[in-house]
Amino acid sequence: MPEAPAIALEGLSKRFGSGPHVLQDISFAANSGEIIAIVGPSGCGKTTLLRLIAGLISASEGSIHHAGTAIECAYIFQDATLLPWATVLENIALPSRLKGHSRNRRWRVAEKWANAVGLGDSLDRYPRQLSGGMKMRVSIARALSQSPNLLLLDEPFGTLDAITRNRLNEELLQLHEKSAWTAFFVTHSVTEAVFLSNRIIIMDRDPGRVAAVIENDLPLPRNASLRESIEFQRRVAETTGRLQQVLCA
Amino acid sequence: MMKRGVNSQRIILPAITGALILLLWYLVKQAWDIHDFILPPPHQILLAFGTEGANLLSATWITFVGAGSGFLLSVIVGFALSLLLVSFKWLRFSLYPFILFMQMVPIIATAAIVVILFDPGLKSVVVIAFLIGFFPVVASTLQGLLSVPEGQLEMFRLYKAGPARELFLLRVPNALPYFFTGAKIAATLAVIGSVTGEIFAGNTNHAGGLGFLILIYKSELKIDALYTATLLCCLLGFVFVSIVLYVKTLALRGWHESTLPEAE
Repeated sequence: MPEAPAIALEGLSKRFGSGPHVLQDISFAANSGEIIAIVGPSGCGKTTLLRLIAGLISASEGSIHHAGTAIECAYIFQDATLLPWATVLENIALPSRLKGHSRNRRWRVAEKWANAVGLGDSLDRYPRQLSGGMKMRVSIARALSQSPNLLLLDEPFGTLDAITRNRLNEELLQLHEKSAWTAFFVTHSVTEAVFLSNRIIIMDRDPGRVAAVIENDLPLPRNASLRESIEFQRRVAETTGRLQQVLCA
Repeated sequence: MMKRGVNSQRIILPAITGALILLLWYLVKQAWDIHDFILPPPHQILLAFGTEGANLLSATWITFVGAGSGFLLSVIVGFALSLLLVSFKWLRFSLYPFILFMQMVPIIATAAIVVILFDPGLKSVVVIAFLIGFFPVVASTLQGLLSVPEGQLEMFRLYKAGPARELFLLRVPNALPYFFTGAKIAATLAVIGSVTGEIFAGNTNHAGGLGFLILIYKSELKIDALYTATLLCCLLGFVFVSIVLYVKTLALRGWHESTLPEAE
């Protein structure tokens, strides 16, 4: 697996056509293997920022630099974006198929990742036969099956119930411990942001911009018991307070 | 238990409805004293199979060949054209308004023109059945090819899938349910087109399809046989639709809602 890159965003701005700026002068850097959480009110351009980093759209101004090896990017969308006509195994194997890998290779890799996310006994099931949490697991397995070194997550657990969401947060951190990709994680949940990230970027809107950066030095590795700690609760309260300041400003 | 209940309802309810329609038929005929010449009783329509069986079967086969050939052509050409239209935007913008326009032309007018262009006979019947089924196939399939969720398209772009992979691994599977909707409409229309064509195009080698036979029975005042021929047209359409639904179930089985046992 390629080493996780360090990514720097410099003066990044985006406007669609002649409309107003959706994002203006975004600058920050992510260290190699760091998880950056991005929080902010709806419409502040969080998803646009991820799509810029992914290269799905181009910036109007500014640039994105990376240090280290070439970027292998994977994107986990807000909904699982599974192909309804493909089984769990086929969905996980899709990136390999698009890259033209042999059938044997893509099946082997897909099976390994299906097992890694606990779906080893659901390989032949179709998305309609899966729960929301299982669908998101397939989406995570599909993204990680390509051994990315940069992972972009666009509020992937937003529609899940609290218990499933917490469990998937823990599983994601376990996977990160093994693979150590650099990640940008968009979320509306401050608790999730504090639990997952090394740093939290708070964004404001009209236009979308960085309003505050909070270092999150809670000890690693993290597990479910961290949520019960006073330190964690204090960090959540502090981040919530900062977010409220931005929303009320 | 529930599934068995739904399945038995699907047989029992139409059977009861059919029986009620037949009863109503007899009652209306009795109440208004309608002559057999105008409205023959259902059993007399069935008996016409006995007297006209050979002619009816031969005509049904001819209509089946005309409608079937036109239907297959409409499905194959319609699907292929849809792939071209979604692949080349300039072609879509150039042709699609005319495809929509052609859909507005009444089939009776089309049939008359086609018979002039292709001469009476099977060829004209096939062309008419093709034309009437072609447009729904193109319109439905194109809609399915174009209405792919944005997230899935972005995922394919993220993994640098070329246009061919995007077309055959994403757009075509997404369009299959739409395509079968169009094919189902084309299946019913193919029989209507074929019979209309036969009424205009007449017979081929002294043998005509159901449309031609309907004209003969009308002129000979064989009203019960006329009803029988009409009934056979409906049954033929039903056979075509059943074939489409069967292929659809095979193609979409397992993942699409419309093929699930609980789908209404």
